[in-house]
Amino acid sequence: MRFIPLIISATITIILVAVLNMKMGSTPPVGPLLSPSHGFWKNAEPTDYSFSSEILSEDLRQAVTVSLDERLVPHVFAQNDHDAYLVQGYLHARFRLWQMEFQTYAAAGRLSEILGEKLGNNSIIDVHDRRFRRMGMTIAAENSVKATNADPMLKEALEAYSKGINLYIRSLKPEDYPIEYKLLNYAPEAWSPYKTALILKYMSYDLTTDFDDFDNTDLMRQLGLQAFETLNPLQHDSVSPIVTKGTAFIASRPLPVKPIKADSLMGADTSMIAMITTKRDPDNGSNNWVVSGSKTTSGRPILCNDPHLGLNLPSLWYEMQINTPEYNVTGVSLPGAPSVIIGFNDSIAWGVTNGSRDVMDFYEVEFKDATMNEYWYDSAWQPTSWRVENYRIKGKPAVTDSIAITLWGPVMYDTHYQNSYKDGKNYAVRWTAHDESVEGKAFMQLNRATNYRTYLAAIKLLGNPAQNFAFGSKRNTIAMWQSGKLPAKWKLQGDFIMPGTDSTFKWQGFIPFEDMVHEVNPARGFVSSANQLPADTTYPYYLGGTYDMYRGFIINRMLAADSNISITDMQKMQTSTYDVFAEQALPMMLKNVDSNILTQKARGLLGICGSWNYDATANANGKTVFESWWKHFKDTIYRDDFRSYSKKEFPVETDQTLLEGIKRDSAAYRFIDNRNTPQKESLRALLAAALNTAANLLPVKPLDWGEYKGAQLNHLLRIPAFSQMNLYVGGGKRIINAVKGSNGPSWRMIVELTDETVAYGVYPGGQQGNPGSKFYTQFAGTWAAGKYYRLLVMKASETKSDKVKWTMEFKKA
Amino acid sequence: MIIKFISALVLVMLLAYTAFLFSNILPWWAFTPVVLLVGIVVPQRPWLSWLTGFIGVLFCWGLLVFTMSSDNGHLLATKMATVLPLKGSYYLLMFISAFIGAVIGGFSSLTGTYLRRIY
Repeated sequence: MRFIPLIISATITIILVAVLNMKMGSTPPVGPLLSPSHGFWKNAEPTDYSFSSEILSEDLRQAVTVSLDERLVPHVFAQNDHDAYLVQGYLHARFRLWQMEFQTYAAAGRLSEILGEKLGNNSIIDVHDRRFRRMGMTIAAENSVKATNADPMLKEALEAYSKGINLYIRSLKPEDYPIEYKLLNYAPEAWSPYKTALILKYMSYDLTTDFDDFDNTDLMRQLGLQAFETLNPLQHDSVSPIVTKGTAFIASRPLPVKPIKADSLMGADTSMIAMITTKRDPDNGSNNWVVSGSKTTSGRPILCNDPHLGLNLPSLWYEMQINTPEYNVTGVSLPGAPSVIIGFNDSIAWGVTNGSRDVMDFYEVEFKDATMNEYWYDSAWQPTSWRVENYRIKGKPAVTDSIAITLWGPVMYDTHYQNSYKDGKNYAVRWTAHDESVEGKAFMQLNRATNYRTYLAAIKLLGNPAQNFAFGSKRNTIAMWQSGKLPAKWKLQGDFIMPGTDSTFKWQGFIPFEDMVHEVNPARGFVSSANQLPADTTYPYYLGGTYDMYRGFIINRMLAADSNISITDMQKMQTSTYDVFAEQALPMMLKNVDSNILTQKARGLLGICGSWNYDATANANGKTVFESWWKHFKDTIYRDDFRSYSKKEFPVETDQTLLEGIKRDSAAYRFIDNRNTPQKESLRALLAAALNTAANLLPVKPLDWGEYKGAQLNHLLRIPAFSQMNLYVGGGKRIINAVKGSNGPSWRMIVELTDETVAYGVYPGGQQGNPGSKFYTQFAGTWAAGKYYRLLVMKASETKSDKVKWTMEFKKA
Repeated sequence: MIIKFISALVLVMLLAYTAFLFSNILPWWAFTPVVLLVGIVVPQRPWLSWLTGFIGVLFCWGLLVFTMSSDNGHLLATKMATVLPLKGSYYLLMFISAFIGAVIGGFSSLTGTYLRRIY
């Protein structure tokens, strides 16, 4: 009988341990998560933690010293390229492992492996994973690896970089894993150049996917081509293109020819229903500009860049300096990829903005039957090839999905995976990101570039995403080049769905590099880009794409007006919250509004608006009123005209289109009249009605723009406790300081190319990706306040100086 | 009895701490067999044995997580106490963590005592 209590007690103990060791639903095992030896407590980085260490590796060729400064920015002193990339890989993993691996899962359509089949009501596998693979993300990454393997220099760099990451991963025990692994209960995989390719393709996805073809087709069929072009003009009157208007271009190759059938396909057909698609954030944009020495106090160029991307935590960027006997580069790198992406070296500086060109087109494919084994192409049945994708799902059996591959590319949408129209048709996607290319090499070469010629040679290698590369050198050359693989298109090609049965609709080659939009040392003394139309309509190739207009306009106006420019001036300009769109729109609204029919509250708002100085600071009330008023005004104008308008995404840049249309001729603007009412609406009445609506819907107080708009840095898993919520900042869409929600300037950099380079920079985040570190959001406050850090370019002789807080010594084992 | 109790308690704490120190090779529940050993070695009444394991692990784990979190300025514990959700109370989170270990410790020690009685 003495056995009974023993058995009971032992059973309880074992059950307790077993239950706590088990995961329940989406809850990770509680025992290991909360235990002091293995749990999240291990991720609580001591505030006085020393990052100094000695790391041994058999793969190193020589010793490498990494000096970490007080902001945890590493300054890498390596003796050769191989070691520099190995150590960069180690550092990225040491500080950002979870984030970079998570992005490869996202890029490869593998999120359901770690997140499970569903997140809330969303099916991860359908909304994300299948979509990404059907878009051809894995095909793209595989092709990128193919191109890499054909290039010994790039291959060696990527392999060294992977070795560095794996050196760190191998040193980890489960209790050392970043906290997100513990919360999601999985382990890091070994890194490979394929994963780096996925990281770069994720950038392509973020910057160049363009599903507008479906919405455009829908809109064009509703309206007819003429009205579509009114809504979507090739060039607005007020636009200030990237290169000075009137710049002459001569095409060095025959221009593409429009297929004879093209016009007849662009007819009205109301059979389609309105829809929504998931699109890249239309606010993803960026600014860069370079002022020539002729306009600066120092007599040397100043280069500025602020790429606008999703503001996530851990940050997209990781600041660092890499020094080898061959080159010395400082700036921000992309965890998961070698090299510095935006930065400067001892001779030049460069910065990027998105080219915003349309490099993704859809073709409607006609299959012979439901087996989809043959499709009609140039009057014959062509055999389909198949790609089978396997999806592992956390807690569920794996599933497979077969993707039909045509001459156009993968069939993204078919009856097994419908687009949002649910029209049962088959659409193949042609996207430049699928093609073999060596983006990694472009940045490797750019890091080493010493002059204009080597800069050109480097950026020429870029395929996708196409970028506007700003350039400045200590020898006083400034330049802007759009670079990337851009299809040479006939007018409107690829704006609508094209027939997949006819090879004449194929892209007819690519724009030769020498024909790319560019400008070198222009007379105006500066170059700039802000995702606007690259050149005026005299440019020989079709410039289809979605372009912002106002940031480019105000940047060019400010730079033209300025002389004797200093770094301080550039800091003010880069963080400027001046709203030039309001400057153009508000006087028109104030002048035309019929104040007789305004409610009393609306009159109050009119007063707030009227005294506003167009500066969208965080405490500006006028901006809040203006935004709300403009939004309701735009809604009243368009709501009756378009079925798809009520949806969030509308495939036209309506703000600039509406304002330009009214400025040109308000009486004749065809969308003002509400087609659902017998009487003819007037601009005056519509403006008053919109302000009355705004008055009803706006909160009484506070009307602070910073609170109304909101801004936050989201953790990649959207865990609020790991995010930085409620940042009180000004700016917004169409404004240089483009902070809006969780999108905006992801890195602000200013570089003055004096003999001793003077550079400033800041990004919203921190060098350490661990939410349990005091460095995690270290820079967020500085960034929100519009302030900067001086970027330290350390010399090899300074590794023992007081600028160095911690030292990591990498030695050959 | 007091002396036995206190020496058993000290043993539990020391051994649980040792299990923590070897976390790189041992699993998180490594303290369980160790505490069981104390139950076998030190003869006590069952309820006292349970209490020994419970209090010993409670203190050991409590002190450990408190020290780790204090060194961190409770930065992460505050965040995790929102994720879990405990309204940001990191002391509650520390207590829950230590309590989980303590309950296992109690039954482990008790099992040891019953094992001893068989022989």
